Amino acid sequence: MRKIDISFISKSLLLLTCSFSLTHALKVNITENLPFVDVDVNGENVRIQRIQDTNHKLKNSYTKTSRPTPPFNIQPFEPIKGITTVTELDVIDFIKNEVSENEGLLVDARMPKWYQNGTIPGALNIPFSILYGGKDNQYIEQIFEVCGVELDEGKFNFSDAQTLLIFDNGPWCQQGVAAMKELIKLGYPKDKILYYRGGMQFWQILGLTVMTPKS
Amino acid sequence: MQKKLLTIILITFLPLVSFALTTKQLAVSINLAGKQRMLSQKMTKEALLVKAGINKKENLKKLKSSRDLFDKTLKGLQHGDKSLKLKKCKNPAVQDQLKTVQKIWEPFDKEIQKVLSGKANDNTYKKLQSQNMTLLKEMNKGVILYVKQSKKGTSTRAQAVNLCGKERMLTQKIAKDLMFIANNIDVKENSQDLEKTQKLFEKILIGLQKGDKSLGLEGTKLPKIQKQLKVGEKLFKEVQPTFKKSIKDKKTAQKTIAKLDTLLVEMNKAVTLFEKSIKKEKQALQLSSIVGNYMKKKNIQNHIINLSGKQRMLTQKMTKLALLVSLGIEKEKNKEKLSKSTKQYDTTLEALLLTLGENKDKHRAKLIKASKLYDKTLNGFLNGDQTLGLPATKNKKIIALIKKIQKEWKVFEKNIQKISANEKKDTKALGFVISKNENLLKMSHQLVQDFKNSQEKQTFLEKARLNIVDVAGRQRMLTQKMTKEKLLILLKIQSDKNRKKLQKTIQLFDDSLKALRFGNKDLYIVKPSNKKIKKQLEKVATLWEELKPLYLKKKLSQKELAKLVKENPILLAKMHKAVTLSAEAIDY
Repeated sequence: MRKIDISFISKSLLLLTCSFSLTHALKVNITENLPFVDVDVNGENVRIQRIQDTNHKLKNSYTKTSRPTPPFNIQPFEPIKGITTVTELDVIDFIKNEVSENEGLLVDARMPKWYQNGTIPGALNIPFSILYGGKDNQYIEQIFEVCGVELDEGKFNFSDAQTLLIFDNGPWCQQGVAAMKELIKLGYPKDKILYYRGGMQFWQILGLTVMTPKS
Repeated sequence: MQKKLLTIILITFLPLVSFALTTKQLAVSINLAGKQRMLSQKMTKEALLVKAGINKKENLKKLKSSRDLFDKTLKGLQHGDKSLKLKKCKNPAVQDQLKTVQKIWEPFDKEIQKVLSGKANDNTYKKLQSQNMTLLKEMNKGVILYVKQSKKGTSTRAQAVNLCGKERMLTQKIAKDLMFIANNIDVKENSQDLEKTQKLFEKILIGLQKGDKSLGLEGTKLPKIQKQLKVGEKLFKEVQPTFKKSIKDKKTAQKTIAKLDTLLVEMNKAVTLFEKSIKKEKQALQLSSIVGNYMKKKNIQNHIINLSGKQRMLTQKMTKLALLVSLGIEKEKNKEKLSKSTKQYDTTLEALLLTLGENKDKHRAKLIKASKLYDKTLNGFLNGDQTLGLPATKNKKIIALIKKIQKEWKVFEKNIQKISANEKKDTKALGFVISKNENLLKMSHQLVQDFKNSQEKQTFLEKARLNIVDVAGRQRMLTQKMTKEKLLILLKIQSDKNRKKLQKTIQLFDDSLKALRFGNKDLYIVKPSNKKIKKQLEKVATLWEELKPLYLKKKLSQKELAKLVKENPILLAKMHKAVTLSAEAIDY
């Protein structure tokens, strides 16, 4: 089982940034030498970059600061012990290296209407509530098969399971954490799960590309 | 009988179960079966290189390795092979085709063995020449049968991966043709074939990059694959001019064959990139289908709760309309009474009754419509109704309750029909509706709660959302209930009792509207932040502020009563819109 090494990610990202020539330089870059990243979304090329208008401000619901609690309590940095919390740069690196190589899945754990409204390019939707109900839940086996989990004599075999990077609306959202808790209950190894705490709110605050999935 | 049925079920469905390979197993099979096509050409080419004395030792080694891999893979496809991660596909059509390939492979292999043992003669190469294409064609049929097994998540780009895979084989076919010509075997035929193969290779390569309708190719939009195909294109442009010379010159042939092998490797890289991309697309399609089914089931559950909630409103609406229809029938009588009245014109009971008696036919039509809808929905809950989007209920407890409601409803319905059909006032039927409507409302409310409780485990947000829809849905019913109670008070039917009821109904409507607008922790209601929902609830509140004093006022003028009757359906419609928005908006 492969564990994501954050220092490795930083190094590889540095190498990655060097591979882009300065001719691609934009006004607002992702990192100093990384202007964009191309993502394969169902055979279409989607470019992840930041909004170039330096006067741009968000106008959607992610400008909102306060939502009633419960349920919108703030998530701790590490809501589940043993699951690594990652940053936007790690998400980009994960898309570039893990998702494109079929080693990992970028999972949007929000309900489908939210996902359809806009998501991170390359993300697939597994709404958190579909994972409820334990092994009796008819959808678990189907979802796990897609994630590379095999069923051996009635038991799930996670040796070839893909790494899942899970996100939701942001640090105030419960959906991603709920999905991770259910996955762990079902036996999904913690070292094959990553958590992007910033979620859609932080992604959009940084002006990163949001994609509307085709239905 | 049961045993017989079980046997039939087992015979019908067991083969389907045991034939099935998982998506992953199937992908491995398709890939390896596809590679066999290329190996059929590679082996022939390597045998011919041995014949021509080009790198004889190395090509003998390569031929042995290609032969062993073809044989191992064919056996693996037929019986399974752990080291190749191959699982036997039990589909009879696939197995039959693999047997056909095996039959062609055995004599072909005999000739290859002759080359390997140094016993090959001209006849050996003639046989290889005549059999290699049959082996390729039959193996190709096998690949097609494997692809047919893959039902889930088919990609429109499957043709791209298929043709890109074919390019690998074509590199070896070109090399093979060159070697047949160089070895003076069927020169004319092989030259023609070489020409055709080159053209096809080029056509596919351009098609993969830019699209080609005749080949069913869209042209890739992915920079990574485009870049890899450019590598292939560059290599092909370099190697193509050397073909003629390589027929006559061994050294050139050696270089050409080496370049064609590099081209095979580069085209294989493109295949891998296509496969990875398509695998991702398949994952997306499969997940989308699973989530789609899940949401469909979930939406049906919410739809059932919404419709069952609407039934509560219909019980009150029907009662209100029954009263209005009856008053319409009495209109002439009331007119007469009014003309004799000496009291202040617009506040006499007769004047009010005359106002209420307006639009009798419209009210009658509405009453019939409401009654039919209640009946249709109730039957829909029990037996399913496609037009209403309702599946048949399976929950035994709920079935028992629906049957109980149906019993009560049948009698109620008869009385509603009497009121709507008669041109004379049916006091008995009206009395029945007035006395029994709340019982029907109570039972209908119980049905909503039972449907709610039968739902699978829900999250906080789902529970909250459902609760909001339920409370907002109840408001629709309250708009009708309070109008009904107001009418009963005006008609002096159990005035005191109905006055108390009206007070309660108004209070409940008031409290619930406040909770919906500003949130209420105890009621499990979250304050809305969605602008549309907020605006709609404000519209309801504005109209309610105008109507509430009229409901509370003891004596109404004719004008005020007309406003109440006219605007009550508007309040219902506005509340109904708020329910729909609450149920459907992404961000509450």
